[in-house]
Formats: sequence, structure tokens, C-alpha cells
Amino acid sequence: MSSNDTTPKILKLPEVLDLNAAGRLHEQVLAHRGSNIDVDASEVDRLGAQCVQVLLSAVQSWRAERQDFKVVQASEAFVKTLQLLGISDESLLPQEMLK
Amino acid sequence: MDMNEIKEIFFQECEEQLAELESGLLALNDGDTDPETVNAVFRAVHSIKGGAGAFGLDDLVAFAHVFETTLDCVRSNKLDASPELLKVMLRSADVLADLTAAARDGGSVDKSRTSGLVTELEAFASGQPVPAAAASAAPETPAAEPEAAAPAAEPAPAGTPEATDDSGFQPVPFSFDEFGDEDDADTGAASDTQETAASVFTVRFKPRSDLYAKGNESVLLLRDLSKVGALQVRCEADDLPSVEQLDPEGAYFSWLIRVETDQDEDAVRQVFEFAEWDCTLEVTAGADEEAFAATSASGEDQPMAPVPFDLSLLDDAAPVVTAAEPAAEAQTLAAADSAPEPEPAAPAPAPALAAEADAPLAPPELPRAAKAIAAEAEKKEITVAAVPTAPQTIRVDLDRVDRLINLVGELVINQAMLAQSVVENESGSTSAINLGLEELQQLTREIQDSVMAIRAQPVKPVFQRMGRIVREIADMTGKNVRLVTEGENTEVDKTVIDKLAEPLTHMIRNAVDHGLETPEKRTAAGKNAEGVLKLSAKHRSGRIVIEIADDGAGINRERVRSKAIENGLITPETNLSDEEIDNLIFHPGFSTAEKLSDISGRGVGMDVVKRSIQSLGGRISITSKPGHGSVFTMSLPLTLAVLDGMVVSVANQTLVVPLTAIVETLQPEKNDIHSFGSSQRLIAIRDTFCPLVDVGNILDFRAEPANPIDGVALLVESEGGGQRALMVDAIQGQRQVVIKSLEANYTNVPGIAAATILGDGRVALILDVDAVVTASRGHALRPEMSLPATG
Amino acid sequence: MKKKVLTVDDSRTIRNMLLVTLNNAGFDTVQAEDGVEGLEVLEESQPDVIVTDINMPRLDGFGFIEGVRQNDRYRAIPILVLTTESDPEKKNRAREAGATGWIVKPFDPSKLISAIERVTA
Repeated sequence: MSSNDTTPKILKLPEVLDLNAAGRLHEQVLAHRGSNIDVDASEVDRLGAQCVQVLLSAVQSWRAERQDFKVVQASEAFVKTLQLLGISDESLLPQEMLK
Repeated sequence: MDMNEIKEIFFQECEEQLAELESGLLALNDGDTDPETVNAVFRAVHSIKGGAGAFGLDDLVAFAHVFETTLDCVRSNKLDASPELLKVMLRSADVLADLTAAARDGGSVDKSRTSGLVTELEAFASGQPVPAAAASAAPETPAAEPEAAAPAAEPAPAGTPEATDDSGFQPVPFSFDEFGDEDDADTGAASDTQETAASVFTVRFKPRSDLYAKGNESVLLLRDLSKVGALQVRCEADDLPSVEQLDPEGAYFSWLIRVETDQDEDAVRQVFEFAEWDCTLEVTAGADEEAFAATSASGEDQPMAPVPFDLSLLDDAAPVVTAAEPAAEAQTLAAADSAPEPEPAAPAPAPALAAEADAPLAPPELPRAAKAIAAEAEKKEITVAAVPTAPQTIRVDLDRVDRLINLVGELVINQAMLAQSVVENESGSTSAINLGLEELQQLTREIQDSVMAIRAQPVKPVFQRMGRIVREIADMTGKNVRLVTEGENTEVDKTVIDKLAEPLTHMIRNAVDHGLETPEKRTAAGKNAEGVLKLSAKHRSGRIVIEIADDGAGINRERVRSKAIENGLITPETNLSDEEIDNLIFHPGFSTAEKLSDISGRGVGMDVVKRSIQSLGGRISITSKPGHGSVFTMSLPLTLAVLDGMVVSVANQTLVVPLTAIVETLQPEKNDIHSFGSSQRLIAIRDTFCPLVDVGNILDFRAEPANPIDGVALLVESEGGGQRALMVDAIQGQRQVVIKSLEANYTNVPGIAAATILGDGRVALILDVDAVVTASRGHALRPEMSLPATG
Repeated sequence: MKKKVLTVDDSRTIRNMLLVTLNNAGFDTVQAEDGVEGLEVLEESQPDVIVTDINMPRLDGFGFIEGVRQNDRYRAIPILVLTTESDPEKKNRAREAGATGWIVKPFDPSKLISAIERVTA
């Protein structure tokens, strides 16, 4: 739908994404609704299940609108946590990060 | 810090808790209904139990547990704090103290007493209090107790001593040696009990949002589960709403996990121990291949395909699995581990203070303590910063305080010497120097007072111990006694407190045993069957005054008098005032003649009490009203480190006479002096005669008494009643002197209490007034003691 | 980086045991004597995990836990309840107040450490 707006916006995730961070992350995500989003998860040190819920919900909601919400950079901790939780969505966990 | 040090702390803490326990119970006994009082009492017992468990002190734990259970019933209003219950609880507090002492010093506690109380406590807790008659019999005959407790019904199961063991409280002795690698311990335990074959479990785990709200985290649970065995994890996200609908703190994910492990189901469940209240959890043996198969069937693009999870991905120490970049991975992990954490800027004073204070307990509290000290630094007095209710304290080794006190003592002496040499070189002194000296003196005095205040402690702990003494004696004598204490926060030097317990104990025993009547006699005399013993403390003119007052029958003067005659202390013709008769009980050779009873008698008379009070620089006296009771009054110095003294000359020696002993000073006139007998001389003071005592003669400074007209008489009050005029050659002045123990530095000298160093650097002896007076009596308590003036 | 543990317990004996155990295990330890002080210390120390007793003067463990959970900054901190109460009712109340887990006193050092490990990232 917004083929002219192709330049993705960057969403940089903080180091700690625990219970306290979920609400703020949710607000940030909502604020970016309508744009393609590249998520930078390279700084993430601690990631809780609730923030993963926010991210996965965003991926699915964006996908429903045929837009991109995808992780482009991720820390080890981020990757490992998603693996541990059994999340294998390509947008959250791109194959090239699973070497 | 090692185990022994912590154990020492534990016993110190027990002392405090026991004191708290007793004062709380007594408050409840006096009708205190504040729930916080019950809480505090409960906490005290609870805390003792907790510590005792850590040290494997099983007897203490078992008894504390029963006690605590009953207290909990009171705390939750299931049980009324009746006088009967409180009586049992007070006795239980005594037993708890005994058990604590036994745990600390070895020794044992009367088992029948303990088990009797356990039975009574449990009976109260179970709502079937033991009838009073049986209760009092219980300690002696625990075996017969169940019958007595419930003659009609079968004994309550809770009432049997064995019930203690079924309480479910399992003490686990604490030891740092046990502290090892927890993983080793786990593996060890597992390999002992576990068959070698790996088994598969299927776990279905669905957290509720509360799980996250309470600080649990699915990620960590899965991490721990991955330590139990190899996982295959499938996340079910079907409930996940669109981002607009999402509650960021909701719980939408659930998991289906296949665990392959050589451990048992308990090990799997154990992981969810903290979480299971806030999730639905199913653990089944075997693999649910169907559930996992369903996933595979639904195609590769399924976002939620099961992900095999390798523990080594999480375990830093494990070999890195990613073959491609082993080095890189290891580095990343290492870097993550050592990532610099911005340290909160630690205030510099804290470590410094820690080093200086050398207080093993203090470190975590120090930063605040440091702030507090900084904040208070401008105030003159050393105060401690106040948290709303409890004052903040630091624990300091007593030796350090004593060293400080000693140094301040030296400072006082030094200041006096400086002042003296300035006076001696008066020509060179200016008003500025004199002013400076005055300020120095003022400051020295203030420092001294402040330092002394550090050693000052409330008499409360000693007073509290008396409660138990009273209960024991009351039980033994069959008397009803209520102990009322007053002024227990009055402070006095710690040394004085330490030495106070023994004489006080004896006097309390004496007061209950002899002072108070039996309930029958009291009732017959129209008094309340319950006797009242009042123990009070207060400050009066630089001393602490402790009174023990009973509302008993008072001193039986006829009996005392006839006994004194019998023992040859007085002659039948001796004319004594009531007060003097009363004070005869302090005379050596009075009570030792016949043991008055096996409780307060025990061959120790009031003379021993008097001597120990005197050795503290104290005085004791009694006043009594027949039918209304007696009052023992002790007055003690607030500190044993300094005293205000009168510096006098005797036969070219300089002596110090404690100011507190001196009533007045007189310049004897020739007409006032009367000879009596061969060597006795009396001085007429207003309308009475007072024996004259030549100090130089008594101390063997000179063979013959000096002429009284040439000297000065110090009228002193002696404890046994009556007064003495101590003759000295001249008065040099009054000053505060620092007491240096003769016993510690030389040896005990009769008639001399201690020594001091004067401003000119000379050593002066401090006169032991009471010893001198006693020595002067020779055949003491003879008629010369006090004669009405004839003129 | 060391994990920081805040312990709240009115017993000096237990405080010292916790201190020694936690320091030996490589934790930073800050301590408070009751719930009120615990909330004060929380402000300045920002611990990774809290270990608290239940029976304490001024503010007991239940009140303290509620206080932590109501504070937006600290509500995510895991709280372990350290108590002799093996009684399920007390455990229930602690959970309702927001406790993460519990350790039964007298604690076994390895259990204490593994409980802390279990609730901290």
C-alpha cells in the first residue's frame, strides 16, 4: 500500500527488555505503525517473554498489512532467548543469524 | 567472619530477644492489648528459633517451635492472652533462656520442666488448656500429666510430647563447608537415585500474567529446564492478538516442551516450583509425538516450528557448538560477561570508616552511617542519626571505649597539671592564657562527660532479670508477687550495671522471702493477697538511686533486736532508734548466726550485699514501716572512672576523700571536744555527739592522734547509721579526680579505695570512707555509736 | 559483573549468615533490618534480586513486597521470601503480595544460591 514509502525506519531496542520495558516497547511499536521497521536488537542483553510477545505481535500485525517489521541486527542474547522460547519466525530470527 | 563469630552474634542476639520476650509478656500481663506487643513477642521467639535451626541446636528449636505455635494462636486471636496462659508463657520464656544458656555454655536443662511446659503450651494451642492444678503438677510429673489434663477424654494428640517431632519443622544445620558447587550437588544426588536410562517428558506450560508480575520469567524457567535435559521447545502463540489489542504485560504464549533427561519427573517439576501457582503446568512421562508431529505437518513456514534447544548455547563454560566461529563466540560471551557495569560512585568515606571501625557487622550499613556522621559532625555531642523509630547504632569493642576513657583520664590530669604550672608561674601568665585554660578545662570536662556517656547503659537488662528471680522465689515460697519496675531506662556505667545484678538478686530474694507475707497472712491483715515489689531507678545529684520497696510486713524490730542481743552485737541496755535497729540487718554477724531460710539465707547475709554495694562506691540503707513494708535504698556512683573528691593533707600525705561521703566540714573548737572512755573522743555537733576519728592514726600515718583543734573535721555519713567526724590536718581543695585502681596496679590496701594522680603529678590515695569508719568502730555498734547530747 | 542482592531481615544472626554466604558466592550484598529500611535501601542500591524475611518490626515482609511491587521502578525485581514458615498459608500470602519464590529457613547455602540463580537473568 505505501510503495512510495519504502525506506524502513530503525527501531533500536534497549539493553534490558524486562517486565518494565514491555509497556514502553509497546508504545514505541504502536507509534511506528504504518511504516516499515528495521529492528536493531544488537544491544539487547536481557529479553523477557513479554517483550517477545510485543515483537511477535508486531511482526504479525505488520505482516497482515503487508509491511515489514523485521530484525536486522541482533545480539547473541537476543538470538539465544528466541531459540530458547522456541520462536523461529523468520522476521524475528533471520536465518543468517543462526549460523 | 566465620561460623563461631556468627554463633557469638546469635547468642548476643538471643539475649536481646529474650529480654524483648520477657518485657513483652510482662506488658501483656499488665493488660497491654497492642497487637504489636504480641507481634514483638512472637518475633523474638521466632528469631531465636530461626538462628538456632541454622546452628543445629535442636533442643532449642523444638521448644521454640512449640512456644511459637502457641504465640501464633494468640497473634491470630485464636487464643486469648489469659493470665493463666501468660503465666505459662513467662515460665516458658525462662526455660527458653535456660536452653539458650545451655546451648551456649554446655550443660543441660531439666527435661521434665521443659516437657511439662511443652505439654501445657500445646494444650493451650489446641484449645484445651490444662487445668490449673494439673498445670502446676505437670513439671514434676510429666508422665501423669495426660491423665490429669483430660481425665474424661483420651489425651489430645497435640498434648503428647512426641507431637513436637511431627511439627513438620525440620532443622537443617547450616555449615559453610556444605557450600559447594550447587550443580555438583544436584548431579550427585541425581546419580544416586537415578537409573541411567534417559527418559522423555512432555511439559505443557501456560503462564498467567501474574507469573510475570511477580518477577518470574518464562525465559528463565526454560533456561533452567534446559539444564535438566535436552529440550525441544514449541511456542504456541495462537492467542497472541494484534499489536493494537495487545496488553504488553499480558501472558499469551504457552509452550509445549519435550525434555530428554536422565533425571526424574520431580527434577522437571522442580524447575517450576516458584511458578506453578501462576501457570497451568502438565508434566507427562513420554513424548507426545503427535503434538509435535502436528507442527511438522503444518509445514516448514510455520513460524512456531519446534526448535531444538541446546543447553550449551546458554552455558558459558560449555564447548561452543557453532563450529564456524568458535573463537568469535567465545569472545563475545567473555565480553558480555565482563561488560563494565557503571559502578555507583561509592562515597569515599565509607571504606575508610569500615577500615577504622573494624566492625565486622557494619559494612552494609556504613554508607548511611557515614552520612549520618557527616550530618551530625557539627553538633557538639556525638549523636546517632535517627531512623524514624529506632536509633542507629554501631557496635564498638568495649576495650576501645575503655582505652578512650583512660586517655581522657590522662587528658584531665594533664590539663590539671598544666593549669597548676601556670598558677605557679603566675608572673608570666596573661589573662589570655587564663582564659584559654578555662576553656580547655571546660572542653576537657565535656569530652569526659561524653566519653563516659558511651559506657552508660540503661539498667533495664538487670531489672528484667529480676522478673525471673521474683517468679522463681514466689513459686518456691507459695507467695503471690507482682514486680513493678520504674525508671528502667535510667543509665549508669556498664561496670556498675554488671556488678549490680548480684546484690540486687539477693535483695529481691530477701524481699520476697522475708518482706512479703503469704497470701493467707496478707488476706488476714486486710491486704491484697498479691504482694507488690517495686524496683525503681532514678538519677539524683550525680548518682543513681535504686530502690526495692515491698508492701510486706516490714522489719520485725523486736526480733531483730533480740537477735542482735543474742549475737552480742548490742547489749540489752542499748538504746537504738528504729532506723538503727533496721540497719542492724546489714551488720556482719547478724544473719550468718542463723539461716533465716534456705532461699535468701544460704549463708549470705545482707552484710555481703552491703559490702558489694560499697565496693562500687555505693551506699545502702533501709527504712521500714511495720505492717506496710520496707524500702531498701541504694545509691551508686554513675561511673567508676572519676569522682569528685576533697583533697586533704594528713600527716604530710595527700589524700582524696570522695565528696559524696562528706556531709559537712567543721573547724573543731576546744569546747566541742569531749573525751569518752580511754581513747574515744567525741565532737559536739549542734545537739548530738559524733565520734571523732583521726584518719592519720587509723591509717598508721602516725602513732598518736593529732590534736583536733589543729585540724579540720569532715563529717561523713556511714551506712550503718550515725555519722563520724574524720579528722584531717588541712583541706587543699576540691577537684574531680580520675580513679586508678590500686588492685590492678598494686594491691588492695585496707582503708584505701583507689589512687589518683594530681595536677602536680603526685599520686594521691583515695580514702575508703566506709572502711575507715568500720575500722574506727573497733567494737562497733557499741553505745558510742550515737548518743543524744546531754546539754 | 556481580549481581547485587538486597537482604531484609531483622535478625543479626541471619543477616550475617546471608552476608557470608552471598559474598562467598560472589554476590554484592546490601542489607536492611526491616521493611521500611528495605524500601529505603532499595532506592540507593538497585539490586538484581531481593531476599526478605516475613516477620519483621515496623514493616513486615508482606508489606515490604507489596511496597516493591507498587513501585514502578522496582516492581520487576525478583523477590525471594526467606522464612521459617513452611506453613502454606504464609507462603500463599507472600505469593499474593507478589513474592517470586521462597527459601525455607534455616537455609542451606546451596539452596539459597540456586534459588537466587533461578530467578535472576
